[in-house]
Amino acid sequence: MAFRIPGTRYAIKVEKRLFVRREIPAIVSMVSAIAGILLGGLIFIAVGISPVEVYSRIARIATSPTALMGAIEIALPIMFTSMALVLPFRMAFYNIGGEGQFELGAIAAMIPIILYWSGVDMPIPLYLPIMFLLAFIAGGLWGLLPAFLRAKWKVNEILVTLMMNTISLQIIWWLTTPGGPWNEANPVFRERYLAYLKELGVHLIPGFKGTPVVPEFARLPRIPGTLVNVGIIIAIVIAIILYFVSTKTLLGYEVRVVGDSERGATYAGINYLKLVLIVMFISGGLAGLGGFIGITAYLPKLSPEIGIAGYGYAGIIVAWLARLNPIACLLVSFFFGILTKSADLLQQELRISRFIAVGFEGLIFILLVLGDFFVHYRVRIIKLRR
Amino acid sequence: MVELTMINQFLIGALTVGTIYLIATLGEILAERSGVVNLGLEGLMEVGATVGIIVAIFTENPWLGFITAFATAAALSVIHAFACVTLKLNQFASGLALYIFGLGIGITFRGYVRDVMLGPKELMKIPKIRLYPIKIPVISDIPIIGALFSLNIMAYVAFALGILLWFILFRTRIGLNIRSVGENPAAADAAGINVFRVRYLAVIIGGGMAGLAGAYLMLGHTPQIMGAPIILGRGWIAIALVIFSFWNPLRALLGAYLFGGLEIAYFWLQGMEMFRGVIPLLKAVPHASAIILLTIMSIEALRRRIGAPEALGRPYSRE
Amino acid sequence: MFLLSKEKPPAVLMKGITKRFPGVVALDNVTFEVKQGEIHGLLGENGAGKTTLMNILYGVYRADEGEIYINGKKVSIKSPKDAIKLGIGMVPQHFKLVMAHSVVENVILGLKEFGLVLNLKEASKKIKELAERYGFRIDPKAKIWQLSMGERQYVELLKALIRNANILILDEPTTVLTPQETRELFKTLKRMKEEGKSIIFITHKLEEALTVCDRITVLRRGHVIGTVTPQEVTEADLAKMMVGREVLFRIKREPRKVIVETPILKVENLNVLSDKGVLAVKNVSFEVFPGEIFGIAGIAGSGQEELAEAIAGLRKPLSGKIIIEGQDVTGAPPKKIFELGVAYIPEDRIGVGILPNLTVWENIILRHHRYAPIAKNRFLLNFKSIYDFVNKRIKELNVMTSSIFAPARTLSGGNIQRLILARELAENPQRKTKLIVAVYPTRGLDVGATEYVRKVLLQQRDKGVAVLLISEDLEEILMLSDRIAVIHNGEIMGIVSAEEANVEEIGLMMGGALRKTPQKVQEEKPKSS
Repeated sequence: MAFRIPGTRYAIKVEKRLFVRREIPAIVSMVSAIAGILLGGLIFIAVGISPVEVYSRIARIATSPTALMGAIEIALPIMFTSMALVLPFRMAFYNIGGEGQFELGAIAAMIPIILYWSGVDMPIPLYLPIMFLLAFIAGGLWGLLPAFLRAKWKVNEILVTLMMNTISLQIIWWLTTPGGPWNEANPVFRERYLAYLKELGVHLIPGFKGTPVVPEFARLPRIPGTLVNVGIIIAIVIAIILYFVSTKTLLGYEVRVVGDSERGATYAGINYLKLVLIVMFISGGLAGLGGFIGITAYLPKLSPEIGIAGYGYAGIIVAWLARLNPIACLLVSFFFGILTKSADLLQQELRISRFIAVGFEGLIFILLVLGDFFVHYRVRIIKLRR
Repeated sequence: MVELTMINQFLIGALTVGTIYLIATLGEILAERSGVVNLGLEGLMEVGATVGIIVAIFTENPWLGFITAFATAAALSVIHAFACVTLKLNQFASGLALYIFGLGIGITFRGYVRDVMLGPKELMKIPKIRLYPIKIPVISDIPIIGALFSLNIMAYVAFALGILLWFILFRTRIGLNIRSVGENPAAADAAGINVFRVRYLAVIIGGGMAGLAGAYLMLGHTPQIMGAPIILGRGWIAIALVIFSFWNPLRALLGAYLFGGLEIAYFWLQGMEMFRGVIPLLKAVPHASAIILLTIMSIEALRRRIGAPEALGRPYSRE
Repeated sequence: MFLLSKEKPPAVLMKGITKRFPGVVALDNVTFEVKQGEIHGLLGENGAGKTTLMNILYGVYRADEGEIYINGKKVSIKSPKDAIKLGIGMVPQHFKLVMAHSVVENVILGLKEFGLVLNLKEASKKIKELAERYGFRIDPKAKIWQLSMGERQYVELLKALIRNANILILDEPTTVLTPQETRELFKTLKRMKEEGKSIIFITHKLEEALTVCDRITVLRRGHVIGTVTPQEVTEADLAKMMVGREVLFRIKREPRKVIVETPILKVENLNVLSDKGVLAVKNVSFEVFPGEIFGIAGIAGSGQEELAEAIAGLRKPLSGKIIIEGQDVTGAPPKKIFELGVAYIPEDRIGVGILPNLTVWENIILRHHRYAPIAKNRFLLNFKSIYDFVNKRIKELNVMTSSIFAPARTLSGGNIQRLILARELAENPQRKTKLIVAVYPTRGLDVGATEYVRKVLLQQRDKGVAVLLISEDLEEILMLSDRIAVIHNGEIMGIVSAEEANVEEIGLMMGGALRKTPQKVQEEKPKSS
């Protein structure tokens, strides 16, 4: 295809790339991200803030250790929700339900805590491991339904997972609204929780939508000597395992095959139903772990805020940017963490809405999606003869 | 007598809120009938809400607000159209990007404008520029029917739009072209129809309507200028509504008003201790039913009878 | 020229048409003429150039050389719109209809005459009028998905008629019709002829051409062999014209080395549906023995693809049996059939044959990936063994690639085919190749690659592997096969041994004009040398 530039002797030629060198997707991603940041500067100008000031503050944040640690904490849940997408996206199963699986994980992880505040005890060392397991299983189960519907009846997984996201958020609302079963003002918790709060000298805020706080013993500690949460180690371990699984195992191989050609895969004897159920259980489980991290490392209570933060959707962008490489997911999540942390600080200092980070993310995503075009096609300017 | 007024109040509320769903759903029906899914509705609605109210305040004219909201959302939708129709990229990815972007930009600007540009003088203008239900002396009090005559103007416009869209899609040449593009773009292409142009227009106008719906929420329902989300999932519900109404504007009318009624019902129930807890679960019902409907429709045997455009979600290229 | 003649000028005259595609001359100086009010048949094998010629007439392609005259006037047809304006209408082989819409909506799509607000009543009236005029019945309000194939074809016909087409091109119209529907169609065509319409009837079925056409032009490999009337010729003559006599024996095929009495593949009364829900394979039975090449000749679209897919496990047969090495595998999944030793070289190389974006090594281990030594256990891949395996296979079949990490789609066509062969023929301890099902294996390959593939098939046959070769290239079938079956319209018309093979007979069978009786088929057992 060629488009002539009117009035000149040149034309823009668009041709499909025969061979996409491995570097190209990475380069395109980076260019998109940079373009996003620069264009984002325009947004700042529009709200009357000098982008230079913004960038310099971000740079300052990026070099302050406390802020960096804070950024990691924000990034942690996203690391999980983005890694969760590595396998399903590779097999062309578009799991947009990371948000919902994340929330289900948080809900399930909360169960032992709720029981605790209701007077039901468990040996303390057991809390974290059990919460971990519950989160993984709950998220995994939530991911199975769309997988099954897709394999059996070709139901569009994007629409199903989207709907399920809303359903899970509504479940959280139900549980945590004043009057709901898990709300902190619930009389069941009165005995233990109020006593605990009295010790701290804290009062309940009436009308607060949320569960009782997660007690210290059920929170993921920081790595001794640093300000970094232990969760980062879990994330790194999972990244390594995931990398290994996706490149060196049969599962990873079959996922790649299906992602390239579903017909070819069936002809090769690969059972789509079995594969997608396994992959989605793992995916939902990992996203669920993100929820576990969310309530044990970041926000130590369950509230609808966890859904509004959009960890699941952010995970989609990160996974895309990271080109589905688990290690890259960690790095890109960190980048987003810095972005969000900066947005938080900027909000306090310059009175801008928190949603500017969301806008940024969206802008980068749009540019990524558009940039995908350049991964497959080459654009050249040629001089016409005559 | 008290009860009858309550019914009217309920109806007015239901139809007013329902109009929000209706406008967005109609727009998406248009886009999907041409074969393109736009998941960015929620974001476009936020943008529309922001643009709508700001322009309305500064020009003291709500209608200019509506127009600019439509135009802005339509302009943003050009990106989506370009990505899906020309670049033939994944429609869901593009739509989601638009959602996140629109969400961020719409809410941020709203907050910024509120903090920086709106003083008490401007805020006082709001009651003057927003839309109110009409009150006709005797008629408005008639139970039920009275309510139908007591809505704000936009509600009537939206209703008319619904009928109009149905008429266009099913009774005109243009509508036939649009539907054919969404069902079998190759056949439409062979018949001489410009598939790309049809899809571009459908997506752009559809997106613009989402912006319009957002502006209507602001100007016709809750004029709250905050740096916080205001659409609150209604955009996603609109997407589900499209499926509910089987891509038919007339059924969309029913569905939208039904959902409007549900939303008002939730609001009222919240005042009552007894029901408060269950509301979130009730809110999940539409989405759960959407899943069930989707499944039913996907079962191949039934697909012919139910109106999902055959080529929905698939890019078209003239190989 | 035409001024002197008292006759009306021909409806269509295509003079000296030449059309070249990269690497092949599709049409070479073809002159084709259709008189007013005649039904003119265009006969030829696949690749003969019939569709290309008509695509030029309809404006889909442009000829490199030559001129077109419509009703005596020279014209330039740059697009289908031009063709329609000139009164040319095309009824395509693959319908372009919107399933969910009604007949009316499909027929008037793209037309401006029926108003901005659709006047469906008037359109329906017009449709009913046209239908009545030409003697067929159609309900304008019916939805396309409710109609039979024959009725859908009438809708396509109506699309052309309502645009005032006087010259109609029908591309292989009877492929999807039942015999009854075919007769109805012919009646309709004759009515149209009486009304003065000129009809071009593309087909490869000899009997039909003789039944309904006033004249028949035979194309072969881009040349016009001749134009005849049905009175002048017999089916045998047509077959000879279509298929020709020059068969080049470039590869020497030795008599069969391996003689085994039990067949490796037995197909019994097999019936298979096509994607369109029509019976594509009709009551087919045959046997294939180890160490022989069993060729199935036939025009593309006669049911061979569906037959191959059924045997490979990709398509569930409607009824009948497929027995491999004594095991009934009718309807079994591809995995099972592969395990029994069946290798499948599919028609659709890029879509089904390889994984285009995955690397060469990932492609080669496909289907073998769950077996040792490629798989270390149920979870892990053994990369060292993979490396060995892949390199060995590449060497065996001479797959030329810059690296085994290159994406498969970067390979040339011939190399892709070699890759597929390398994978399918690879042996691992749990599985030996016993039967190769090859569908159009040399289609689109250059001379070198073609020779190579044929050599490989012969090598396998000499090793004792059975080969089921499906090809539209009669030369190839004659060159390679020990026994030849001819398929036409889903049925096996006859099975002959290579020695007895008679090109004319085969041509007749391909055209549906000759059927060898069942008893004779059973007697055609391989002869021992």
